Amino acid sequence: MSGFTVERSDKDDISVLYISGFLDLHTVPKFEEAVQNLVNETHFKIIVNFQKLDYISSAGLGVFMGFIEEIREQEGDIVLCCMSDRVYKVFDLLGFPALFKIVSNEEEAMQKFNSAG
Amino acid sequence: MKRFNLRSYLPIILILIISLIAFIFDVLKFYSSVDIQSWSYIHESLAFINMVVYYLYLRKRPLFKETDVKTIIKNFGVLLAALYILVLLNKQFLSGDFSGGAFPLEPDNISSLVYANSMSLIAILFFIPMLLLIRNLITYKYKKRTKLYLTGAVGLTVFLMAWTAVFKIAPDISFDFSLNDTNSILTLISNSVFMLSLLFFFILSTHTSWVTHLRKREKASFFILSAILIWLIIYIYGFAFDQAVPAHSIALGIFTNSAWLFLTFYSTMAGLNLMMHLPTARIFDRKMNEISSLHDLSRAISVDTDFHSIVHLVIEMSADVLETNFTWLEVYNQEEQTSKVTASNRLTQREIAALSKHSNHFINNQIYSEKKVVVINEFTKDSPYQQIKFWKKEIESLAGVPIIGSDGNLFGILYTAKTKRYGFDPDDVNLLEAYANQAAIAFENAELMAKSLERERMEQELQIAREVQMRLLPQDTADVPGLQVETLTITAYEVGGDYYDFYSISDRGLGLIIGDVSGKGTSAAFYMAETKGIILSLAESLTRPAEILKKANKILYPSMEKKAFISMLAARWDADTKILHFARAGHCPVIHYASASKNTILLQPPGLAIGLDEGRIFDQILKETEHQTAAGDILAFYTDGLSEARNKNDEEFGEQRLCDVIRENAHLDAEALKQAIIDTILSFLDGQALHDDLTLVLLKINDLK
Repeated sequence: MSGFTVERSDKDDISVLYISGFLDLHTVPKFEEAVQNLVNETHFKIIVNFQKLDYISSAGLGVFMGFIEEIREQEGDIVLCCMSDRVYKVFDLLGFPALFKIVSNEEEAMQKFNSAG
Repeated sequence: MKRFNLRSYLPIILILIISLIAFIFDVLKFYSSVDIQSWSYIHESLAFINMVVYYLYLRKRPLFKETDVKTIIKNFGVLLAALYILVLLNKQFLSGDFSGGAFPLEPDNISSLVYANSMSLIAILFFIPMLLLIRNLITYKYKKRTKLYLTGAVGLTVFLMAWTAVFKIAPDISFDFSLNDTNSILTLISNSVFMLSLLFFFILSTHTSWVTHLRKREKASFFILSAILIWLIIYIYGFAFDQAVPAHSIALGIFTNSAWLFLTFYSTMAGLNLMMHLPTARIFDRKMNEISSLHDLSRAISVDTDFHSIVHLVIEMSADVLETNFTWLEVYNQEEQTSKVTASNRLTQREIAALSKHSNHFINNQIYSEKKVVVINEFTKDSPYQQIKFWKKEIESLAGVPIIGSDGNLFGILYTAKTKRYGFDPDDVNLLEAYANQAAIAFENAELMAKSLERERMEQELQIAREVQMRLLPQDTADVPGLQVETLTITAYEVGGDYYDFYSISDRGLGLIIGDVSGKGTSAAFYMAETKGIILSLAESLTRPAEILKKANKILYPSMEKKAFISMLAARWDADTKILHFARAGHCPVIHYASASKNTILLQPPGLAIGLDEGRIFDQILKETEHQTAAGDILAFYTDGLSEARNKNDEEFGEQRLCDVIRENAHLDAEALKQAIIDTILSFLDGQALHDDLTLVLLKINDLK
């Protein structure tokens, strides 16, 4: 199937992960590793940009659940942005908007951190 | 037992008796001065018979068939030494004076007569086994005409023995004769035969191929030994046999002379050959070791599948054959980009640990990037490889060979190091590469083995998961008056964790649970089992779908992995009111086809999947809704395996297609509708395999009550 890539860019203390392609059971380890690296480096303010993501499976959603608790304990957060309707539908179906901040663009995501202090 | 012994000694006794007869004959002749021609022929015949009997006796001895070069040479040496001892003893007690001037000489007195007899016996007893031993050396490797030369040499010697015994002309190579003289012609014949036999002896002397296959050390020690042997052999004839044996028997004298000449030839040639082989002995040894070690290795690889024992064998052999001081093998980890020492020779634990820690040393990186051999024959002060000296200062030369698999991927590096400079020539490197290739095969075998084991394990797990899933799903569809119920489950290759169940089935309606566990395989099957147990026990006491889901979330949340969750939908349809009560915990919406409007709508009340939150947010968000249905209406519950089923072009089946097919086939009964949906999905997939389980539950409210 199609591949998956993740790129990282740090802006001050906020790290943005740009993900693209297919995030499913087979590509999840790659994404997990990227998030794990951020946590290891004590980067707890994370934005995940979904702009180029074509598909996400339930296993892909599991990654966020796997880390969110630890990150929030460290007063960080994961903010999700720039989702296509198709991807948002998956998040919405499972009720994720109640658990995560999902915004439409990166600036807004930045503000979520800045306003939170 | 005793009889048997006697029989085996019979030939020896016979030889002694014959020798005794010959001796008596000699004594009689000495004292009587009667010379009868025919008697001398009998005497010669007796000597000849003695030799034949002794030869036949030896045929049955292990010596006759000995093929081991070392044993042959040892036996030869022992025989020669014993020969000297006996000859010396003989000389000590008897006088060996002969006179007469002409050939053959006559014994001077009774003492020299005894001396001649005993020497002759000694000549037979020792030369024949010595010749047999040499014959075994010659036949170490049969060449085209070896047999011919052997037969020729023996035949000519026997002929010469008989000829000389009859005509009493000593053969020589002077060719001093005139054609008119009969005697001269006889001499010519005997000399020619003698010359020819010498030629055969010489040819046979070149049959020393056994020398080639000796080890280096054996070659050296045998060379020294051969020098002594040659001297002893050359000396023995003049020392012991020259006059004494012909004085006893002419035939025997010829035999002794020929045998001595041959032994001298052969030992000289063998000694020369040994000497010539000395400079190349080391290289020859190396090549032999190389061949045998590679042979052993490839055999080990084909028989032994244990990766570690093969790696150790590779290490041992390269250390052995290349005579290196330190050898080790670093295994490369592709993902971590590190290497680890898995086997080593003469390295301490601390040194290994230090190597593994600094595995990204310069040489490793060079080999990894270039995939080529690195040979360092000298560590100069400014050498970029200096750091290896910091690790182990004894190392003066080093070679590292990449272990590369058939598809070009790198498994590791085989390192060897020596404590002397210039320890590795191109030959050594070639051999190291051969070892590395063998190691690569072992690596590949191990990898294939691991893969097939892993696959087998996964297959087994999947089988278990499938069985669990099939047992968990209801075996019969619910039977409720006024309602048609149809279910469909298509499982994917990897079990997807789809689940549905009915509860509280009665004339008044039924309860339905449909869910999808995140993840796949055994873990999904495990959560399914847990969920089923909990839901069924909750449904005993609780009737409202939202309550069942809330309670299920509270119970399941603590026992679930952080990453895992379950989307679930609980519904209850009331037969009297035809009202559908349901709550959706992150599950796919319900499709409702209303027969009045002939339209489908998606019912998607808010709700969070089970296992994401301990209950606070879950309970707050989850909303239970009511929905009025009517006769002819259809309710479809499904999992995302259906809506997300993808075809070759990566298109999703989607809710819209499902709604369309329901609407278009709403007039059919539930069973026919299900078939229509299956047909639509199958034609959509067009042979493409499902990547997730697919579940569909259809409820059709009957028109007529």
